[in-house]
Amino acid sequence: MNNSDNSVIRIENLSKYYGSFHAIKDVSLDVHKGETHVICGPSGSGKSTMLFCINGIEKYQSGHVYFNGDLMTPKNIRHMRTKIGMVFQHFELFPHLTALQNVTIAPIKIQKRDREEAEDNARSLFKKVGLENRMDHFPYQLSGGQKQRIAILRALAMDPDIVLFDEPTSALDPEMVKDVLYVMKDLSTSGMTMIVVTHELGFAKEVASHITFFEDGQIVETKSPDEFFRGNGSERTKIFLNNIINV
Amino acid sequence: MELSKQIIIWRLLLLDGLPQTFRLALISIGSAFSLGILLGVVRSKKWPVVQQVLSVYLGIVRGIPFLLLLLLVYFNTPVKGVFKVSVVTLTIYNSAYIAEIIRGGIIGLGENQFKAGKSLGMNSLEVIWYVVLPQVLNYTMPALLGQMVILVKGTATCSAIGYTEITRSGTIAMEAYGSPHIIYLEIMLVYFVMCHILTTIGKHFEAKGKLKMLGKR
Repeated sequence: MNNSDNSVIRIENLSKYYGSFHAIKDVSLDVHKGETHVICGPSGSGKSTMLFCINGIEKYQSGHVYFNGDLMTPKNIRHMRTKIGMVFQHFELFPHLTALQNVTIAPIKIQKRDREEAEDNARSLFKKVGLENRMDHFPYQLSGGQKQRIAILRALAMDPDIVLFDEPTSALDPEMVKDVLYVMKDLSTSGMTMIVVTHELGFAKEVASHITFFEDGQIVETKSPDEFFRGNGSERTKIFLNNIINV
Repeated sequence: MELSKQIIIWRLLLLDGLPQTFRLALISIGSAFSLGILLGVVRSKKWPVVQQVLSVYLGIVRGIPFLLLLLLVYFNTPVKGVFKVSVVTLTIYNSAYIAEIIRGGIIGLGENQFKAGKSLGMNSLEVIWYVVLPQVLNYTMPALLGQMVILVKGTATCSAIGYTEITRSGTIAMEAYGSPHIIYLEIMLVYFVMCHILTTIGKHFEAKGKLKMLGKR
């Protein structure tokens, strides 16, 4: 397949079942280089499940995922994952490793990079997010916001082509949310391709290039933030927006 | 009992018996823990047939007394020599318990740590090695340590098939000099000291591990 359209991730007719439950229904999505693609929608609609299908951590029964134009297969998936960063709702840092080790373990052990180079690279990443004095801390010694920023660094240390975010701020204290969003906005502005499952519509308004409204295992619509917030979308999206805004 | 007799008996126990106990215990700890961890990891996977076979196997091993397993290996398998039979039996028996401890630890760890490892491009083995085992060994340290003490005590039973570790050295001494009431007490003391040292060392590592991952003592 050619990749003249610059898509980093292309999902074609993806379906996932849990037994007889049709969790993801024939979803297709294109994410191009440099885009920040926000996916929102009610809880339990399958947003996160779909995100995990993109790097094959959740299995799907039909459909295809292309990464940089190449079909993802069981054979090449592990290599592709090193170029697809992932940030989890509950951080999932490795508790037995220091912050620095968390960020360097995959570059050193999986990408087989030189230890010193990997650590130098990690140090500059820590500096960028203002956590250079936390590198030798273990996860339990860090706040949620710090942990999540380090989890983002762990993904970035692999030098990924895209980063997937699974509700990165929903497990955080309100005060810490902005630290994490700040890092994400910065990343988005610097041109990183991102898919972000989130309820942070402020973030979406500010940096998203596309907003996809997802419900009941399928994409209801994909809009530009302008159109999305102006209420040009479907009735269902309007109800969703109203519910969120009128809390 | 005269002092000279006592000295001979202690020499028998500490110079003849104890090194054999150590040898048997150390080698068996090595093999039982290697096999146990391996079986525990395999058991945590959801491979259909392997899973059922393992479950039956572990159930049987854990359902028979150690002494009978020892006799079974001694009389019913091609394994020859009391030392080998002892190592094999201690390994089979204790690895079954260790496997269940490890499996429990892996289940307790939850799916997300696996996902985090995989999302970094690790294969299953790398996830187990870099992410899962370091944590699981830490969390299950108290139970594993208990199993290690059980294994060390289990070496005493191997005297039943004629392996001359410290218990059997004592029995031999008793046949020559009598006074079982004193000799068995002395052997008990040696086991107690051994296991106590083991427990103390273990507690140290346990505290260290907890401190590192959870910040607690």
